[in-house]
Amino acid sequence: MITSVELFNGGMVAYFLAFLFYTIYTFSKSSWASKLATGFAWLGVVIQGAGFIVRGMEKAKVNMVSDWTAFYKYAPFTNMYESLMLFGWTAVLIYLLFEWKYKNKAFGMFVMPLALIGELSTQILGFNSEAQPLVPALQSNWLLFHVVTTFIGYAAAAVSAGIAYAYFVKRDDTTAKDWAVIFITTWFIFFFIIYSAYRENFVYYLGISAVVAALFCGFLYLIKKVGIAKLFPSVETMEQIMYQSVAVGFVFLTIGIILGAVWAKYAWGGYWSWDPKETWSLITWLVYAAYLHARYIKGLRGKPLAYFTIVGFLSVIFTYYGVNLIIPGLHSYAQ
Amino acid sequence: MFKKLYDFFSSVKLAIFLLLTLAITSIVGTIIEQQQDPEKYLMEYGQTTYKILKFLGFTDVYHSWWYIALLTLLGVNLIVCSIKRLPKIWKVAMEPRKTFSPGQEKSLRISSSITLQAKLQEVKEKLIEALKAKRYKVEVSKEEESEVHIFADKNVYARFGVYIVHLGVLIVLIGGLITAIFGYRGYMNLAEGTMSNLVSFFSGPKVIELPFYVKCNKFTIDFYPSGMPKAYISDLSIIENGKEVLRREIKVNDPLKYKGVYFYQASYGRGEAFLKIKDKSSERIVGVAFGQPIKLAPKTYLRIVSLDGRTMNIGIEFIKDGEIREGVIKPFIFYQVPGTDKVFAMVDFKPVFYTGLQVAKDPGTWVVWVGSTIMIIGLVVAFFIPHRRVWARIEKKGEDKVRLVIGGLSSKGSEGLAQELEEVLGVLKSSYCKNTPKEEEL
Repeated sequence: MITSVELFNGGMVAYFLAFLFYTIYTFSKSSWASKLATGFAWLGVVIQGAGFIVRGMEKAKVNMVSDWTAFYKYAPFTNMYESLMLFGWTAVLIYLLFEWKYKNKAFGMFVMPLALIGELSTQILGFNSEAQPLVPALQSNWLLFHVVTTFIGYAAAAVSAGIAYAYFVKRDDTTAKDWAVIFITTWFIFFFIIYSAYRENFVYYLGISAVVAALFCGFLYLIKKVGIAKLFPSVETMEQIMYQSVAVGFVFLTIGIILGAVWAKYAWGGYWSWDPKETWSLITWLVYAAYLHARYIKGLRGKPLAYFTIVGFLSVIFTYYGVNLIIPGLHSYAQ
Repeated sequence: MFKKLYDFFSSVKLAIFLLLTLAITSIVGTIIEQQQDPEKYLMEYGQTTYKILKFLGFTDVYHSWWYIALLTLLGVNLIVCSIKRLPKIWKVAMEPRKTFSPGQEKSLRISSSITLQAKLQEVKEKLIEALKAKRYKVEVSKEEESEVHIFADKNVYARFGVYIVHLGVLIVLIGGLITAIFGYRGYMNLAEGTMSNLVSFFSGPKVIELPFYVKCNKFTIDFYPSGMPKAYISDLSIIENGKEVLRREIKVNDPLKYKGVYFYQASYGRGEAFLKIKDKSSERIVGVAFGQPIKLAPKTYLRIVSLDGRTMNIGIEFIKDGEIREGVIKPFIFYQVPGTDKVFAMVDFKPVFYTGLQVAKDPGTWVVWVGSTIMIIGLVVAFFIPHRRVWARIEKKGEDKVRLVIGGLSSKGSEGLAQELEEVLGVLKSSYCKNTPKEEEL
């Protein structure tokens, strides 16, 4: 029988092919490349979707549950490997929905590698890909719903931040100061992703992530110089998509936090314990709430909007990766 | 003065400021460990820093006066803001200008016009029908011989999504307040076969007496083949007035509820002490799990917390009138309970398992769930449901010729509305455009 890891890897191959065809499409505008790109991206989503189902059954097995209908209880989102797979999968899915809605494929060549890097990082960073049994605290009916809604929220936030970076590439008046901000924020993001895997040699990984961030910025700069940015939707449309994915992210984060509270009520005895992860999810929620209000009173457009979008995503990254590094809390089994 | 205050509290800027301030100050509590014993802080930070942290409330940020003040301000801001804006939004939503005089189409995001080969009344009815098919509420706002105005809208309630969210947030805040005032969270350690009605708070000397007893009949741990724990299971009974009224197994994620009090499987440990308690008339021996208090006299409790197997020193906590004192006793030696004629001694010890229950009562929970549900509904309405309005003007241009101008506004994203209007026009075109040349104005 085919294993979930094989399916996840198969999905990654499909994403890679999609990336190639998105790139070909971007430069050649050929319609068959465009169709193949979208086709492979969807194929990857389907394969990995099947991967999650197989994974759920594998987990039910290691948890010694024979009743397969209970597999949602053993939803495969309980360690770093599984959650990063979910992250990549949701990001591609959300991208495809935006692609379908806005009929613009310019971002495919950026989203695919991002999802791919996220998923591949499980192998580079050495997260265990084995299906593991669940500790008692994670055996809950709420697990699936809490994690899925939260991750849609995270992925939407990632999409919004991706658009925000592309937005600076698109704009003609991007200054050195903007580039500095792009560098520092991506440095922060890469650092927390890498460091959360090793948790030692702080300075060393700070250096490594600086190099990765510099490469990323170089890549963005190259895109700008080569003129690919011309293919992006207009500045206004990008602002619109940025805001819309933040709105989607906000709604799902809210639902995720609330479902987490319901779960906490049954597992820990109270809907809110000020556990560091809970607190950081609240901080993220507050940042996005401020964002939506700032947009509402119309002050927030243009670059400040993009900055705020990135700050919101930093908060998400910290909630996802950073929290367990500072204080071990009730969520620290997520490693 | 009142006006100034009102303006201050009704500004969205204040809301943004409060949200961001709460976000930033919340970070503090994830960097400094919260609600620890003073000794722990002293060891980590030293005397001076600890005093500063304590003074600023940084050792218990989320219950500090200024954090609560910020939340209260946010609540007030929310209410005042909503009160101020609601009438305006009401007016925009419920009392729109319904006529559509020439030139007004220029102010709409979407508008188009078309000339049709038909009678005015026919077009009017067909248009109303087409809009109704799209679930619009349609009304004729002006009707004259040569000109008819039509107004249609749908999802008016979407305008109030934001207020639904705000209401939800407010209810959640109130729920939190109820939790803070009327709720408690404590613990109970029960060795197999023992029962108790005493709940200790996680920190501090507070002990609550429940109106019923909880008995642990059995505590089991299941393991996976790898040795990892699979389940912690406590078989509990509720004893009320000397009778067992309920018996159930609890697991992590599957608590027991009785009379509004929840019992959660939270931890386990080892150690049961046996105490002999004597006064002039009676003598009894009771077993009690480590960490679980035993009542010696009114407002007087004793907890056995540790046993040093080498020195036979027994660590105790003695709680009297809300004050906690730590001490050491020796086995088999009787100690007098202050203020009574009772004496007690520890006479035996068994290293058996006890189950650690978390005990919580929280009447605010349901309020929070209600608020949360309202909030989610509000968010979906506010972000995903557009309020759409359509205006149309049909002008008579000849015996069998009319000009139709139609336009609309959507509260979010105009693509959907544009699509709808195109379809509505499509219906009219397919009915009345057979003989006209290609419509040049569209």
